[in-house]
Amino acid sequence: MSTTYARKTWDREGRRLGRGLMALPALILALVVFAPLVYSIVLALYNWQITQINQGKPFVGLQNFAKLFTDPKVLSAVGNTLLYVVGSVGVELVLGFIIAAALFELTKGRKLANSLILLPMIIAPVITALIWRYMFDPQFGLISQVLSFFGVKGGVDFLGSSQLALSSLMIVDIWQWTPFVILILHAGMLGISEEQFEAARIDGAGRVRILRSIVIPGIAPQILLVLLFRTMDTYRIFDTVYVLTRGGPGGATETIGLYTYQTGFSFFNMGYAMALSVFILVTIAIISTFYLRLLRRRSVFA
Amino acid sequence: MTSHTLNAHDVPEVSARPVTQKKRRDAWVIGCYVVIGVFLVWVLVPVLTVLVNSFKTPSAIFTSTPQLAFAPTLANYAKVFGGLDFTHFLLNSLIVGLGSTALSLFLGVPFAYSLARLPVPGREWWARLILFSRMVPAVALVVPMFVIFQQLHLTGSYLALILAHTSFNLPIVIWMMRSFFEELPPELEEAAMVDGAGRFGAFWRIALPLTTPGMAATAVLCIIFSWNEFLFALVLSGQDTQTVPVGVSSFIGSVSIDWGGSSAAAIVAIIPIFILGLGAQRFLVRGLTFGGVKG
Amino acid sequence: MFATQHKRSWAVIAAVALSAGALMLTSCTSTAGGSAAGADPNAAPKSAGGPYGTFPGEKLTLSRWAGDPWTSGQTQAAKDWSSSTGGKLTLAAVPYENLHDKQALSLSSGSDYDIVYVHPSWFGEFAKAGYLAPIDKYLADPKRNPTGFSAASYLPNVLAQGKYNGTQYCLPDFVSTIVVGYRTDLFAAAGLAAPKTVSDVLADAAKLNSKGGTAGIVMPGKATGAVADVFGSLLTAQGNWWYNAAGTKNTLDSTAATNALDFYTSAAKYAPTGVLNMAVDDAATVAAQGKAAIVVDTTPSLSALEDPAKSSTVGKWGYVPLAFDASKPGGELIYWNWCISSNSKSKDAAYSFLQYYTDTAQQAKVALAAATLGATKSFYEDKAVTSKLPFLPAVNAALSNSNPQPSLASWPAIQNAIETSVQQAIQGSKTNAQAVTDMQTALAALGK
Repeated sequence: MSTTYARKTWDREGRRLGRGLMALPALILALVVFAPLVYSIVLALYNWQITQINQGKPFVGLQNFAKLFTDPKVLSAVGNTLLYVVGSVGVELVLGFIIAAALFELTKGRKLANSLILLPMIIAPVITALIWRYMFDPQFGLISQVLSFFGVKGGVDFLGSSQLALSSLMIVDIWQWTPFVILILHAGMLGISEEQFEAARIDGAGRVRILRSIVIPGIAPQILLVLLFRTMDTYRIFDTVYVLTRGGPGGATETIGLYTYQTGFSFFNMGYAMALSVFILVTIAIISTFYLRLLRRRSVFA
Repeated sequence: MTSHTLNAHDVPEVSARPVTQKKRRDAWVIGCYVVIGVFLVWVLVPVLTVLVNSFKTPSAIFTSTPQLAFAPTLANYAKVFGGLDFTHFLLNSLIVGLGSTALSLFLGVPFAYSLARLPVPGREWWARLILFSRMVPAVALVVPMFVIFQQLHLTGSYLALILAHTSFNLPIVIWMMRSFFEELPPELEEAAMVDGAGRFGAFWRIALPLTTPGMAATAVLCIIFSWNEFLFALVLSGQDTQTVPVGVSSFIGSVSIDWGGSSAAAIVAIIPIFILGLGAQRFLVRGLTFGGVKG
Repeated sequence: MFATQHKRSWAVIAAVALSAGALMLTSCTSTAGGSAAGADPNAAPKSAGGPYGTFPGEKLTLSRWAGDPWTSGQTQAAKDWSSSTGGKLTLAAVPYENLHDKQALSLSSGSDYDIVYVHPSWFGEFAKAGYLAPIDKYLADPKRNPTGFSAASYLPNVLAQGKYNGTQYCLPDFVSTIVVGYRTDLFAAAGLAAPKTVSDVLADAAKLNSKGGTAGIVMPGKATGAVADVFGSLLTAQGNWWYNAAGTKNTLDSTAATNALDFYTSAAKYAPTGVLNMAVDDAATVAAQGKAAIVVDTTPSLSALEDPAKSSTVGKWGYVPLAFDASKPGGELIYWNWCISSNSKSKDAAYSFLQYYTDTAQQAKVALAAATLGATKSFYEDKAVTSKLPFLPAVNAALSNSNPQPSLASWPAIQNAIETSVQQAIQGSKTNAQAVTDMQTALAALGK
């Protein structure tokens, strides 16, 4: 059996097997993601409330999409969201890298530290929001009480002032998701081959240089992966915001995800909410394409 | 390709640093311990606050000065298991979490293998499509999904929730498992095929066992995501299939939040998944290392 | 060889499909409730004050929100109703924030609920969609109601809110409003008299602010609907309202709105830190823990002040209505509607529970447990109960001049804009005049 002949049979068999293995997953994915998505795009062409879901709805064409560009709330919500994304993901990445690098150095207790660090990540957002609503409470919350011990009386208005509210929400996101960043980056660091470290040490490289010239390039794919997933998720954030500030005070924390949710479920305008969802999807897709470009050109990090 | 990818049980531990730098190393390592310690305080204090609150009466939760000494009460836990029958929520979450994880792995692993290894036309486009499906906001999916499931007479069933959670878990499985499979040296499978194993045999007997740690890590992430999901669980569940996050929200009323009750419920919700995390932590780190999660 | 491999992959796929099918089948086995033999909707109650009719074996589901003090009362009432009529009434509770969506979706799919607890803001939407069953004939049927009980037994202005296009759909309860609570001990110590008008409230708040670590006043400031409730009460006390009787036209008077906003922004100066993120319960907790001398809030939330488990200031509160002119107090009428789903197969049994639960005897229990008032006239004549509700005189005075909580489909979006404007005026990012203009603009969406 010559190798070219074998390759050909393998390819033919592989294509057939590929079809077999991919058919059902693709079907299920179509059922749970793409069918609802297409349906929601159709629904965005109507002006309807949730009660009209099984009834006739007035067709309005692209009116809901046109409204996106004239609605001043969309602009301010996207602005808040971008601030939130950049602030949260930026801090998560830097902090996550520092902690992952520190974990990498531990000889004793690393497993224990690792398990405890993951704790916030496994907590449901609704619980996280309740935890932080209590922590941030200016009268009864732990942070204000500790601060009052140091002479800051009267409590800090974390969620009720437009200067602090958005940053406070970022703190919640950072608390919950830095562990995820640590997990992925730490795993990436463990995956770097020992030879590379040894070679660097023989060259007499210091710690900072090892971090810079071996660790960071070595985990560049993980860094980009974390960036991609965290950006996707923070851009859509609404659950913790809803419980903690409900977009207030005075719209200071209204994110595009929250505005979409409220438009559909609180303001009874499902058609426009669907148009807003499509807007979110398209904008994330554009941002992700940018990341994917970087991902393919990994050399930029080396 | 480094050797450790071949042997899943042999993840390199960090070896000792050069002796010449011993002094500096000590200071550096102590610094690392301090950094980790501070971070652990930041991570744990909010959770411990909830733990303490879950043993407090309402008036003890809202006091002007922090109270470390208080008369602990089990009333909040009695509410969680007596008034609310939280075991039911836990069971539902378990069924949905395991169901959706199993389904996602079952569908996603072969799909990921096909994308990584088989000469499937348009592989890159498939991969993009999978990532794209992970970006769709839940708000856009949940109402159409409700209508579709209603047509299929699925609303209120476990299967509805399992399928809904598969919508975000399946893309994760495919995305992660693809990089694990790509990381395997193709020579192994080729050798098996030369020995007459066939394409499927190469996948089933060679590639699949080698990626077990990666699969375990992926499964843990899927269970966590499913356990914590709220919107689908709320809209698509019936009274008998509500999951833990919906149960916890039951303590947030229209005019009052039952802080004691919600704290106890939060602790009850956290414990099972935390135990899973502790048990699976080895797999999690090893699995992710092994695959070297790539984009 | 290749073929067998191939078969194996298909076998796997088939197995998945089969197991999915099996799961689907098990999900379809739920049974529908229906009237069983031996049911007599006209049967007189077994004991005085009990529910009418016997419904052995009938299964009903009631949709309400989870949590809050009303849960235990309603659970008990459902239990009592079940044991008395032989039916089985189950409570289906979802988080309050999602109650509307869950009800709307369930009712649209024609399943699940027999009795729905409907908030004013979505009553009109449900009635219009045909989700609710008319109850006029039940209410007029002497065999289904206690002797002398009829539509006339309810407070007419509250019962009228359950009407849509002239048809009665729902029976009301949960009567409440916004009142002012003030600390009698602190007022006495400072030599102050009970506040009679909102300017008294502001003056007293200014005097008592930051004395002994308490703030002058606290009220809800978070955009959860309560800000609009307080604001609506302030408008009502001035004889103004957001819109006309048909709900189609903006009637917000600039002077009245400016007065109301002046009160809100001035009061916020004497409020504790974080007032803009306080929902009704947060404001009540602050007051209950002795951190504010005056509180403006909904009456159900104020019940926390008198609850020893939640309050360190029990018995130290006096209550007055909101008023600009002391002789003309006013308030927004807050209430909820009990309705029957038009899909219900057990409408007779459902009405039996509605009548039983909204009548005076049950409402008296609710009032004591959760501080909401009944919607029947005789409730207010029951001295054994009313004497135990310290804020009742203030509520009665406020509701003598009231506007019902808005129940227009366009309202939630307008309400959000109004509350955002109030917050911005308090923050100073908008002048009061600008904020009032923005409210007017938001109200232009009425009737669209």
